[in-house]
Amino acid sequence: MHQNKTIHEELKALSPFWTTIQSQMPYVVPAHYFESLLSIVRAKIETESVYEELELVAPLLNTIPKQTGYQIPVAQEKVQPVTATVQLFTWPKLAIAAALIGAMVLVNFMYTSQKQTVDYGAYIGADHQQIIETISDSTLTAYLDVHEKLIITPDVSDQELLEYIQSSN
Amino acid sequence: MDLHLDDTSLLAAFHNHATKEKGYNGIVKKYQEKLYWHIRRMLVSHEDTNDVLQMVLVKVWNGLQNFREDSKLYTWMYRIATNETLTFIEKEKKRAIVSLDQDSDTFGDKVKADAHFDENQLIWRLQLAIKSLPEKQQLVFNLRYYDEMPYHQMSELLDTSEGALKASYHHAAKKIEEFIKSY
Repeated sequence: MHQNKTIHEELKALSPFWTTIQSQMPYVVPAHYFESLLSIVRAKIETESVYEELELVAPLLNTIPKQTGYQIPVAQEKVQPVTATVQLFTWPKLAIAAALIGAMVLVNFMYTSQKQTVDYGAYIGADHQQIIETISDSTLTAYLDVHEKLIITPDVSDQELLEYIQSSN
Repeated sequence: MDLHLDDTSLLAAFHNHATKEKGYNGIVKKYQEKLYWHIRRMLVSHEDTNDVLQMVLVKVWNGLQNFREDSKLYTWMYRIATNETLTFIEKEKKRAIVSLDQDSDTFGDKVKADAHFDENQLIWRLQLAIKSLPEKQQLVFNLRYYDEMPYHQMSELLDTSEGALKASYHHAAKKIEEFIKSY
């Protein structure tokens, strides 16, 4: 470095000692340092902008280390290819499974669609006495022959029972 | 971007959204070596200098948007570099006190620890002599002796009168001379 005249004269005026000193720096800079500095600084600016963005939105996240907890196994085991798993389900097997599932869905649909629903509201609100009067005696007798017989004790004869019904009416 | 562009052109490029990065790159390329040596003369170690210089250049990026051209770009960047360097030195001193580190290196020790240090060479003795000065006096001496900075610009940078700077520089030069003669 060559000092300009003003500074040189200034020092010379102070002491002739300064004419013996060279103003070069003895320190050494690592090779290519100045060539790479800009890209390092640019990367740092980018990192800082990411940090500052998060600091505004969720500062807590900036206090958490960015390392993930996941670890890579030391011994690398051979990974089973995905295609091998898929081969367990061949096309014929998949077709049968699909047909079975389809049949089950169809049966279920038919069963539920045929099931009669009971209108309990209409039942409760109906005039039962009037309904019974529209039914003929023969129909009622036939009904009782079929259903009531099952609860009648064997000691009571049909004749006695008939008399009981007639007396009740 | 052309390194020989004047500061006004570089700043205009920075303030244009389309050429902002190119403008910044041009400014860094133009001043990085001057700033590096300004810091390294104070901190001696390349690693410390690198850390501080990177911080300075990030601050320049953040601050350029609001930079008012009432001072020169060069002076403004030097001021940031000077403040960051002095802050670093203060932190180093506090760290040494808190850790009660008796073996903590002084900057004179750091000069001697340099791989190329040779006490028989006058340029190395000059470095030892400079490191024996108070920090502010080191700054004044370095800015005048190595950077050949005019007193009026130094006055703007260090916020000190030209007369006081001149006196400080002359005083430093005499102390350095005495140090080298007695070494």
